[in-house]
Amino acid sequence: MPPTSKRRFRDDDEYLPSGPSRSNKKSRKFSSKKSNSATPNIINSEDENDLTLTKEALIPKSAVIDIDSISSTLNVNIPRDSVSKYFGEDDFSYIKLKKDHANRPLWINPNTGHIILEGFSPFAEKAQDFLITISEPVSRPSHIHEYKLTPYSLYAAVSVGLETEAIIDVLRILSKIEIPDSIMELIRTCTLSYGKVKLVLKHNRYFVESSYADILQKLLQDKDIAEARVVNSEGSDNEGFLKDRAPTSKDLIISGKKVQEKETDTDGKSSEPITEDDNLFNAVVQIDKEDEEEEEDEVHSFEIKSEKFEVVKKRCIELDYPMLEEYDFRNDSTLPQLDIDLKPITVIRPYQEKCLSKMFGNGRARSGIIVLPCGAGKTLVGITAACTIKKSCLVLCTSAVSVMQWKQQFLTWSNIKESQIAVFTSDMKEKFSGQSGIVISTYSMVANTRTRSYDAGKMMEFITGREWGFILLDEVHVVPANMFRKVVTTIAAHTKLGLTATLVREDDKIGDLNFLIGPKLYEANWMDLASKGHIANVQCAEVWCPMTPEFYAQYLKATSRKRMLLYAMNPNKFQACQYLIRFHEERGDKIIVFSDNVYALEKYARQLKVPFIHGKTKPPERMYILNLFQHDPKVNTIFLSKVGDTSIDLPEATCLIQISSHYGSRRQEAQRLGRILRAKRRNDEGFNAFFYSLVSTDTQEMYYSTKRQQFLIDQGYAFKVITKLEGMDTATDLVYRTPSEQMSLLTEVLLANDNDADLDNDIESNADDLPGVVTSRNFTSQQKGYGGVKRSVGSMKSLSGADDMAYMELSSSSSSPRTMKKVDKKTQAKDHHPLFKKQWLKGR
Amino acid sequence: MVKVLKGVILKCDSTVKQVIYKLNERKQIIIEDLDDTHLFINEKELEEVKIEVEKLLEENTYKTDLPPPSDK
Repeated sequence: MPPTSKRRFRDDDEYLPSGPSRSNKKSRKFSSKKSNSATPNIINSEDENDLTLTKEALIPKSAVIDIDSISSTLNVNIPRDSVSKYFGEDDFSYIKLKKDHANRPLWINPNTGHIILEGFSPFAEKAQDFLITISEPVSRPSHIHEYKLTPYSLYAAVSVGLETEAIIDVLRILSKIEIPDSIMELIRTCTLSYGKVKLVLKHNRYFVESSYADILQKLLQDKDIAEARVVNSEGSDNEGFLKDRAPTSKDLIISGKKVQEKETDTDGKSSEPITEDDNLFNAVVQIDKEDEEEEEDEVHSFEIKSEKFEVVKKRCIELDYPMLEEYDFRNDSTLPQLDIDLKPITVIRPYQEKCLSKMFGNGRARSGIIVLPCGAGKTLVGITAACTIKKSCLVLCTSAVSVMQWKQQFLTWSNIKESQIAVFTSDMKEKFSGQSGIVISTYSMVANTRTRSYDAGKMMEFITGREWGFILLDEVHVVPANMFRKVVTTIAAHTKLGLTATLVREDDKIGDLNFLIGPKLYEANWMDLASKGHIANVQCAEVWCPMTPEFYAQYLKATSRKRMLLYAMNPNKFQACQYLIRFHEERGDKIIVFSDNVYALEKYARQLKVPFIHGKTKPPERMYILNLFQHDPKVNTIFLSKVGDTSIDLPEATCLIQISSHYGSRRQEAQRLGRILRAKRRNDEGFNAFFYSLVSTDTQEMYYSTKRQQFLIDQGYAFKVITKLEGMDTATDLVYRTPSEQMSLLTEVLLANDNDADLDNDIESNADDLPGVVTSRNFTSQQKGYGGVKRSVGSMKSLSGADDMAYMELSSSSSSPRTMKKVDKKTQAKDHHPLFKKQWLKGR
Repeated sequence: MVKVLKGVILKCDSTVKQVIYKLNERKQIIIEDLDDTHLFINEKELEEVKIEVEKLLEENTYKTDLPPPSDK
């Protein structure tokens, strides 16, 4: 991976405690690779590059260019002065500033490709629009923004139609310094081959299209591509290239000249007849075109056999000309139209329009990824896109719950009939009526390779047996790369759109997404949206709760699992939580309290007499509680476990308190923040939502907490640290005030089962859910393919194999975390005590 | 026989006190527990206490993996 992407997934040990003192086996295994990667990560990443490259040549070569390698060769003779040594590699005093630098907003780091934008400059807004297209935002607080040029981002820039010289020109205008050679070289190498070739599907045939005929010529020299080509298509010129108007309007290319040049480098194999007729026809076509629209660009294309397009695509990537996929949906006549439109009352917001304009920039549909914060209306963007394409559409989401939500949203925003929406989950297998429609399913249902029930098999045939105009991929960042590849390859879809809020991945595969789906089309600035009132303004705070001496003494002795329980149950935290709830209830806020730890959740909620929902709460009860929260003015607080992270939509909530969380997961933090971003009252004057993280000081929680905040900090949020809650000492009737109460709490906690400390026994994973979605702990081990053990009551019929029931054989040597746990217990029992052990052995 | 021990008064918060108690299990460090935030400890062990406490606090601090950006 290039250095860029390191930022995004530098913490694949995110879920695991790190540091030498932890005894967790898993963490060893995973963090040993990464934990020492503080500085020498270049070496690490290169190793991984080799691996990924040999395994799957799906990533073009220039995508892995390391800017360090370019720059290191360039700046050898740098004049150093007396203080240079303090800056080491980062001494850029040799770079000359332009005379009018004060007016220009950009700084460019020649070594790493970082671009610093002065957010206060009058040109900042314009520069920001430009930078967001050509580079990845690293961090965007209010005054100074940091971006980074990466091969991926440049690829994305080219794909939305920016050209190499244009990028360099604009950069030159905005930069305070002359563009360093290393940056020039990076831009040139990365944009040279990208985006020049397009795979266009129109009139139901695949065309390889490029405005540069010589590139097509080059591609055709490849045996595989030449084989896949359909030679005798009408309207071809003497090279067999079809000429057409480019969908965008730019200056005309005189193609006649190019045809001449091309003849010289024709390879012997190309067997198409060169006839006068063709030339003539071309000439006519040419004139026609010029008459019709003079300003349009000329593009060349050749047709390929539709069954070979996969091969061609792969070859093109290997030849370092990755193809952009475009779908000319308006000219597609075989795929039946889907009668869908947005309801007249539906209004899309300016930024949503912007995303969509990037996607449908030239009248065709492009594949790509759109990044919008939680609560900013990703779903609506997806639905609008589906309404624009008006073809059969497949929506994939991460869990059965969100399947139902998507269906609901489709019905709310668009005029589609309910009979045209089909749902495909393990419980429901529907087909839509008529020629076209929408199917909503989950990733695991579609990517499942195990044997399916008869119904599911039928349904899959239904899905794979047809062509889809559009495939919508919700929460793309959580889908494991291999599952993704499977989905993308088994389903014939013309356009792919990925939606996500946090383009952060726990594995190293975020780069793959760029090439499996498409480039990132748009990434919204959270702060911008907040200032325009699309999402709520949030005050974030980290509240420090000191551990009581008794708890801390136990903490030092405890195992890492017990520790978790101890710092969650810290009496000071308990009090802080109670105090904050009281404070905000008095202000009239609706409060959600999050706790990943179910034991702590129940304890807190029962003590404070507040309703709570966790994984084992039955749906009717859940509905009842949520209803109470929404409508009853007396119920202003609820406690949620991580079931509330994603699937519960509560626009009433305006305050969020977090008492226990999932290790260092940045994604969870962002998702939780998303719960209050859509607050109903966000447009009230001076309204602020509140986000509190309660942290026990001097424990691991401090580490995780800081780590979790990184993503939001990069989005421009500032976390205030509150070391002492004003007035908490004097507040009356707070719980656990006396040492004796605290002691009894402590004994309770110590007596609690070790398993209570576990975070992942809360949500029973649904067969449809991805293991990573509910931020379960075994996210990293999901390659194993199953989501964990599930206990359910079943009829004889279903237990014997009906209703999708499948049994799996688990050998004790299996390394799955679930079975490991069991083994652990057994061994624990064995070496319980030497005496018992002896007897046990004897008895055996 | 009279034994002389040179000691230091240590002012610390209650959690650090617990850490030192933990260390005390291995080695005689604490001479006298004065109150919630004060300990009287053996001077010889002072350096080790410093190191251990530092280590523990370090463990709970998150640092970004990136070297600090040069031009900020």
